[in-house]
Amino acid sequence: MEDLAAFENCLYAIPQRMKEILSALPSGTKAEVQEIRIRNNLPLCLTVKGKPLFVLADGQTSVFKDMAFICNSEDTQECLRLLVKHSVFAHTDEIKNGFIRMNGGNRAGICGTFSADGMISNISGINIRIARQIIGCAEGIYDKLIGGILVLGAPGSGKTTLIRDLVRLKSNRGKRVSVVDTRGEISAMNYGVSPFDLGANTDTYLIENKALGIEMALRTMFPDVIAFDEIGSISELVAVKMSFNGGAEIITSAHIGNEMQINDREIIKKLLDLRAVETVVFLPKNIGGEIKIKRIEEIKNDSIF
Amino acid sequence: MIVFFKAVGFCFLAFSGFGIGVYKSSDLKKKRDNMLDFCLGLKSLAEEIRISAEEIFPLVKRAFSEYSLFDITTEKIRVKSGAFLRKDEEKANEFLMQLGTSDKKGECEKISAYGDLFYERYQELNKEYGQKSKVYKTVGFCVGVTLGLFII
Repeated sequence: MEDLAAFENCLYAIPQRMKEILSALPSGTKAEVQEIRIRNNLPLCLTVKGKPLFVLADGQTSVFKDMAFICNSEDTQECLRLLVKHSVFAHTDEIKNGFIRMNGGNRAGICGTFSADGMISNISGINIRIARQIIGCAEGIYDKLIGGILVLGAPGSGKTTLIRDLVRLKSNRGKRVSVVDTRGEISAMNYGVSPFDLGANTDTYLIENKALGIEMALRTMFPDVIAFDEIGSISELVAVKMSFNGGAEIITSAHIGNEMQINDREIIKKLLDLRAVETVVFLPKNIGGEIKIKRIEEIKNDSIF
Repeated sequence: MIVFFKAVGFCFLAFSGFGIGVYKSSDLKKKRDNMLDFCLGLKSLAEEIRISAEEIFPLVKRAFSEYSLFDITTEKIRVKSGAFLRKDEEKANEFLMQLGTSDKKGECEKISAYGDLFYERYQELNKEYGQKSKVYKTVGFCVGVTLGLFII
């Protein structure tokens, strides 16, 4: 039921002619849709269980693009208007970063021509990512996780969902947790309220600069745990070190295709060197695959590192 | 008896004519006042956009104390039919259609440009009201009297 609600929550941003088609999708498909992709002169596409599915004009889906409903540039522009609720000025900063926060914790990525000042023109496509909270998804591995946690996985593998549940569990088990969210991925905070259950003892920062957010949390919220998504810059590493030295554990994530790619990601190597992370969780690319949990020593002993 | 009915009919026509004149005059006054409210609302709206991070619908509701001027749905804002003269209504709707399509600076510039245009229209309407108000009442009364005399 909640899964259907998550899908229906994002329909306000879908142009009318597509809304009718998407509303006609079977309930089972609606509940499993992860993304809705609208691209100029290309088929309306869904991501279901990590795989693309094309939507036909009668609301059915197919793996083949023939006969699929074709979106046009008016659809993408209308979609953008609906996403920003006719208020581009209120979403300028988000647009400059290529996304728009939506109701219910969903997020839309925008693709097109970006000018030097970050404004977009000629939108070519929009990807609406449907955020779902899977309460309890971290319970099976929670007891195996010690110290700082790094969640690694491919895009769409569920890193953010896992972090969200870890935050909830840590918070409900007596830890003070601060969530530092740049795009609202973890908290989906809207007007100061998160639609997700992040636990009883969680404070959330919605801040563009993660490093600054971590510093602010450390100085003012005295957290036991700081959680943020997608570590990616040296300034964030510095903030993580500060957090580690200050006694706060971190929970973070990074994109990675497979374990072997740790070598290729300088930021991950540096993060592991800091020893702010004790446990690394590898999420499988496909849903239902095996989740691997490794201590940092194991990784360092592995030939891959 | 016939004279009495003729007198009543004459008075009825004369006052009806005058009434129509008064109605036309007050309608023009209402449209002039609406235009002034709209101009003042635009100033507040520009200020709201400058300082607030909210979206356009709540800002419009807050900026225009007389937001009964608008038909506001979740998808669009339009001027209520009859709130302005037809050409002003078209201009206002054209402006409302463009609202929210640019960044803060662009919005404020757009509101300022349209604000000047609408304030000019307010001044014209004010002048028009000064000139036409008495004319409507007088012409209405005269037409009523003429019709009355003609029927008599």
